[in-house]
Amino acid sequence: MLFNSLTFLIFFPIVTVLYFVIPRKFRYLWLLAASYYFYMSWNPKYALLILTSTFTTYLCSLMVSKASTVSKKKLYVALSLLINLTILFTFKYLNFFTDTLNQLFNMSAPTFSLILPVGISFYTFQALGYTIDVYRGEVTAERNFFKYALFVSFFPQLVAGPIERSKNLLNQVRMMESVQFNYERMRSGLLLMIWGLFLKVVLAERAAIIVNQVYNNYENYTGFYVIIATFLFAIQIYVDFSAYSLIAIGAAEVLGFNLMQNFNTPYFSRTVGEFWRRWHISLSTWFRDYLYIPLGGNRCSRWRKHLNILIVFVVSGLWHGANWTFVIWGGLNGIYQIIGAELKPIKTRIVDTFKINTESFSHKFFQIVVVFSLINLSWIFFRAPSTSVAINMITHIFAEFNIWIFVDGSIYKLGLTALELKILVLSLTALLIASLCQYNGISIRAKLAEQAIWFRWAAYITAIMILLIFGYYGPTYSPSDFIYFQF
Amino acid sequence: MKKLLLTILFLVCAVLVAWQVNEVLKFKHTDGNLILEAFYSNKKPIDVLMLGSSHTYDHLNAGIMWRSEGVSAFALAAGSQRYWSSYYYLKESLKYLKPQVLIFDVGGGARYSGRHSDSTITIWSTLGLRSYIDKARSIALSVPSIDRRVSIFLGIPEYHSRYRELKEDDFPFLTSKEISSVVFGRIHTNIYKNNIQDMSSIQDMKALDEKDEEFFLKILDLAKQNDIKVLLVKSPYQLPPEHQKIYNYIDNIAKAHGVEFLNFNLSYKDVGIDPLYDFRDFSHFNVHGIKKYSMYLAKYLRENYNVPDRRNDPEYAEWDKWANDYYMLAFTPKLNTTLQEYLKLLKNYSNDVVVFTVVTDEASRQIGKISQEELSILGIDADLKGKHQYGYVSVYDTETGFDYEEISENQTIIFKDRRDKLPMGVDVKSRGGRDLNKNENTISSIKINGQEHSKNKRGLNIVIYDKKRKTVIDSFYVDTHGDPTFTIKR
Repeated sequence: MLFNSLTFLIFFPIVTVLYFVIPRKFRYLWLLAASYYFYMSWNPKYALLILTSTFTTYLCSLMVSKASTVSKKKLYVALSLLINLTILFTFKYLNFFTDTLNQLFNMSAPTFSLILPVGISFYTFQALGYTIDVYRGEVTAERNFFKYALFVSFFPQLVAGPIERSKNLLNQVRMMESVQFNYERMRSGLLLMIWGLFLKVVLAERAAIIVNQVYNNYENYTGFYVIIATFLFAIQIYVDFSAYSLIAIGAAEVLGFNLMQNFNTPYFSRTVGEFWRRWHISLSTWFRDYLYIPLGGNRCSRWRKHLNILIVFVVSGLWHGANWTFVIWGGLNGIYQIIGAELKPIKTRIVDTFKINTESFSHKFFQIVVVFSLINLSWIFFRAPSTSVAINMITHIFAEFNIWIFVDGSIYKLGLTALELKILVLSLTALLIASLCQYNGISIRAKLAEQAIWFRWAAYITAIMILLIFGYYGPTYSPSDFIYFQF
Repeated sequence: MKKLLLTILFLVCAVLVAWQVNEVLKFKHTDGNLILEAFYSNKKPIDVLMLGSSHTYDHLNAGIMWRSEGVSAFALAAGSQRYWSSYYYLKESLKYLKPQVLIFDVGGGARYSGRHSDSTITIWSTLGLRSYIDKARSIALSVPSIDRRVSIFLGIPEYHSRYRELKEDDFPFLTSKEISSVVFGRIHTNIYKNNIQDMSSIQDMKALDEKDEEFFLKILDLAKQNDIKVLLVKSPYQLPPEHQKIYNYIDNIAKAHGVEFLNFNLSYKDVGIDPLYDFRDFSHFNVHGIKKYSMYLAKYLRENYNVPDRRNDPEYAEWDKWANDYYMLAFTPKLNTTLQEYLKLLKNYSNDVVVFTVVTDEASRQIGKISQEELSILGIDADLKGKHQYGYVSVYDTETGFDYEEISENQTIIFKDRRDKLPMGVDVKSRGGRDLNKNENTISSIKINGQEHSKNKRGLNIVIYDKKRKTVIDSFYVDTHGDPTFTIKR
């Protein structure tokens, strides 16, 4: 069930109304049932996998909490990791590794026709994070299986995050009986959902048309075609993924839950490191807390630290998909940071020598453009179907300086008419304004709430009408899934 | 409590805005929602309600039925409509009128046999329904996917992307001209040589699909409850034997219910239908078939069902106009009648036209037999009697009253002045028999947007340009010199 589907339009209000109407002690059971229904709407069989992950992490975490020695605790954590990572490996990576081995050693080991269950990487990491939190004593083991199951399967963030921490979400599940309906919170959550839907159905789906046209026919495109498509893919993946997070956060807010922020204007980052502190924050911090720090983090030699970064980003790449393109994408982001760290003394010297004002707008803008360009370069690997295609596309960028495509009408032959392109540009402008507000700590929702009622209502209704009219939804289109579902 | 009321008020405002947006964006299908809109806007009694698929709305023309017998009929039908949709149409219509007779074309039960309808057909049959409950039921019976049901019910997911193709016509509410074009105005002139096989030897029966039968019986029951006589019909088409078996089955049910069933697949010759001339494809009539079939049934209704002739009822004055409009549009290009008869039709033709008249060679000898009043319909006010071999040009706009007329004994008349007052490019000239330049090739000419339309024959050469349709709807000549019958020739 997609957030931008009509089914969700019916599902969510029913779930919300009943949630606040039924006796509070049954709320978690109602939300659990709704969450499983939500998940099973993709494929009922998937429920068995999430149930297995839930049951094993629940049991192991209880055993961890009851174990008398550290070695026993470690054993149960290891058991939980082994079972869940095996499931993840089997469904997500087995064929990839088999294919790789077959190619490397000229073997013919069989591959299996397994369907990747949606959101498996998300809920597996969430459940494993809980086990580790219990081991570390940061959260007590939950005895009520159904409440724990709700923590793992909470429908707003089940299939594409944010990957919640037990300290945050599990504690809210435990306290949910005391949550009362709140009008302002509902309004705020709904506004977030509308904004998220706008990003998805008006902006991301439009950008996707040009991106798909160029990337699916890459051999026909050079120069600015590739640059435009890659720029739009950067926009598409950001708005697509952040849209899902915003709708998830908004839906949870309506129900009285606070989920963590997942994106914080990442394209305004001035370093690649900063980008990763602003992009998919729930995953970045997960890797930081459960992989980078256990590997030694910053508290080790310079080269060991670089190796830790590289490991984390290669694993992050693999988390995104079982393909070498994702490994290279992750590795490239790790290498950017290592090079950035190594070049830091040179940068400092240049800044000092030329007395560059690092806080000036021009310098910040320069840094933002450089980081955005580097990230765009890595997105080519992320989007391209294979590494050879990605390299091919990069070489295609320099094959022709075809700047005339902006004026000779060629740009209208990429799948969007002049009218559709105008809507795309207007939507991008809206995103830019919203991002600038967010970057400068201005809450548009709070500002809007201060306005007179007629203005607010006009704004809300206009936003809804824009969604209704200009959104890509309904049977005329075959809307793409949210990109991050596949991870 | 205050917040709850505000929320409700906000939702009401949002729904009202969405409603208006919906009105602009929604499909304007002539065989679906527009028919329902026309139906809802109709305030006159309807004696004959006609249900079914395209074989109803395309074949039974209410304009012809009105014009020929004064039958007030309304085809409440949509393309490929299933029985259950027809049932909900009937149920809906009974809230607004009580017809004397229900004509139901039963083709749906054989041609679609219980199948789900695809989304387009479902939209045709449900989009305009005012009753949301019946609309939901009809959609649920038509489409299996829940997502699609919701989408069709809401409507806007189906057509919101029409913002790219909006035209001026999408904004105003339905005008009376649009109603006339919906109810009376389908014109298909092409001819398909059809082959309808003789099915009279097929006596076997094949049962209707369970769902079809359920709703077929519901239609009969609902009509009976409301004291409406039912006339089941099946207009002819190129049908396979399997269909005939189902019609035999329907005939059996009809007899059991005391209902008449006219299966014109077996008796189309009684109607005068010529398969080689009256069809536009293997299944649908062209205007000639429509005319024969509609006139036949109108007469049949008058003679067998006591349906009244309402032509003298002033309440239906508008119908006269619409019916004549239709007749004019559909049949004028093929109508070889007299100039006087033609002028009567033209007078009733409501669309705004520009009439061009030029004389080639000579037009004066017999023209005195046509009254000046009649000729003024063409914009001819000059007295042409005795103007032997004079040149003559008239340009007359029935909407604006623009009137240009010139007559000359021996000079070529070229229409130049005020040409910019007309909405199209025009070059008109006339040379009479005495013209000093008559040896040049072209004697008279009516060029519209660069294209020659004048027949350039002796007498009056007339071209009629429809401003609304932006096209020449007729070009003919009448030899007012040598033909005392004034027969129109093309």
